[in-house]
Amino acid sequence: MAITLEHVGLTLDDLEILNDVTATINAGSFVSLIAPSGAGKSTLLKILTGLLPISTGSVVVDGQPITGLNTTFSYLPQEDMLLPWLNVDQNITLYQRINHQTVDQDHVTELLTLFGLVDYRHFLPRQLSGGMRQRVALLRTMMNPANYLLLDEPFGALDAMTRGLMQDWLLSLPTALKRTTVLVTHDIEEAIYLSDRILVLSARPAHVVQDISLTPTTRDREWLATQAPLKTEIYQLLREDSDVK
Amino acid sequence: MKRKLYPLGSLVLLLAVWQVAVTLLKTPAFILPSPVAVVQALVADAAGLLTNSWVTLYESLIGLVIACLLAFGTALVMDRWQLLYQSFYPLLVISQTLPVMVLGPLLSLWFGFGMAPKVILVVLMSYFPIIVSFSEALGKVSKEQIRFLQTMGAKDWQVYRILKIPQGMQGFFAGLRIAATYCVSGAIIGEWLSAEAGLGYYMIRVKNGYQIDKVFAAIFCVIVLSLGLNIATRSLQKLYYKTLIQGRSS
Repeated sequence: MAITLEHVGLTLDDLEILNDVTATINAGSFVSLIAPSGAGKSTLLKILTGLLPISTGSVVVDGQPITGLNTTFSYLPQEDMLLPWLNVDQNITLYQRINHQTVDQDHVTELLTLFGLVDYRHFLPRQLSGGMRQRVALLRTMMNPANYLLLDEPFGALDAMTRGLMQDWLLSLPTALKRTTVLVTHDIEEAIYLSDRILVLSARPAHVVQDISLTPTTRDREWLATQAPLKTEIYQLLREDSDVK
Repeated sequence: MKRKLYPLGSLVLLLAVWQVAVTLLKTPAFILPSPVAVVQALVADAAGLLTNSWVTLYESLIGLVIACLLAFGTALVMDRWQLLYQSFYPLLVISQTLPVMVLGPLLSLWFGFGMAPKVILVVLMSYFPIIVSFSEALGKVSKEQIRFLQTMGAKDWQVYRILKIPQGMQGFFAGLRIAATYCVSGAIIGEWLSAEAGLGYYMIRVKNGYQIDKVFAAIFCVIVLSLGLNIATRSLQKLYYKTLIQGRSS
């Protein structure tokens, strides 16, 4: 069980976005993709979901090549994509409704409690705060039984305090809920705090410039504070490749 | 509350100016009756006005419902098959430059003097604002959101049911509000050309008898009908979204 990207390249309208991206993401891991702004991090996720076709190379998931739009992944785009006329309950069970699956109400209540949303289950998205909307979107992603989660800057629009709380909360989720996750982020600290592995991509055309493994015994804010040298290292890597010097 | 009182105050002021001007200038009633005379005519011929208003409302509603169904269906078909959209949408937009009332005499010639030509005129006047507004709203639905649903396994029809129609209905109702105002005018024009009942017919009849106060009374009825339909449309929109939210929670 793995995602394998081999020499993936993408050119759109004569603009080379990805060049020779090669990486393997093993089952059960939490991998962050970090790159200078506009390098094509989100593009990689769109390739995995089949929203964009690759120009060269191959993408193989669990031995099956990805050739077009597919449902192998549970995808959380940058915007929360909550449907404004559906309440929290209805939004999080969208996958089940689309695929005509029975909704286990007890399980839903259990998850809503875990996500701190049980008292808001009948609220519409416009009645929720930014952090709560993001949790709803994340829970909707979790409700999709796909083995792989693709998270595209899920906390990018939140203020620093809420983002920190959301990161703590994500880490505190039970292991049973955790699946192979690919997180796209522009926040170096977030990548260090949440990931087992960080893939640092270059500026456009993007390719992997550094593959960093992280295996702390305890992952908390104190440990994160000790990772300043790594943060600087990643920052230097990004800076070298950035258009803005 | 204040926002409602301001226009109401302006209306009362305008009516007062009208009343005072007519009284001071001693304007003949067959040229311009006073607001009081119009109210008196309204009360005196309430039965006749009510009967004729009902005929006009009936024609307007039938035409409006047909226009809604046609516009809803054609907008969805054009949205689904872009070749049809590209082929017909520009023609629809251009066709809006044609004042539909000029077709009135032809409709009478083709469909006789019954209700059909009035209803057709209403359909033609109501169809375009609805389809244009609904089509544009459907076209504005975010591609990202559509693809997002597709990554969850949504089929084409589910994308319409879950996303495109609920979102596009805002445009549909915006068009419907315009059409609700137009449709009464359509019925009136049809009745001017050939009719045996209806507010348009009533207006022509009393005008020929120089009963201008009754013409104004009929105009008042037209305003009430248009306003009523506009309010009904807004209520329908609220009901739609309320039902949509409640319906999905079952």
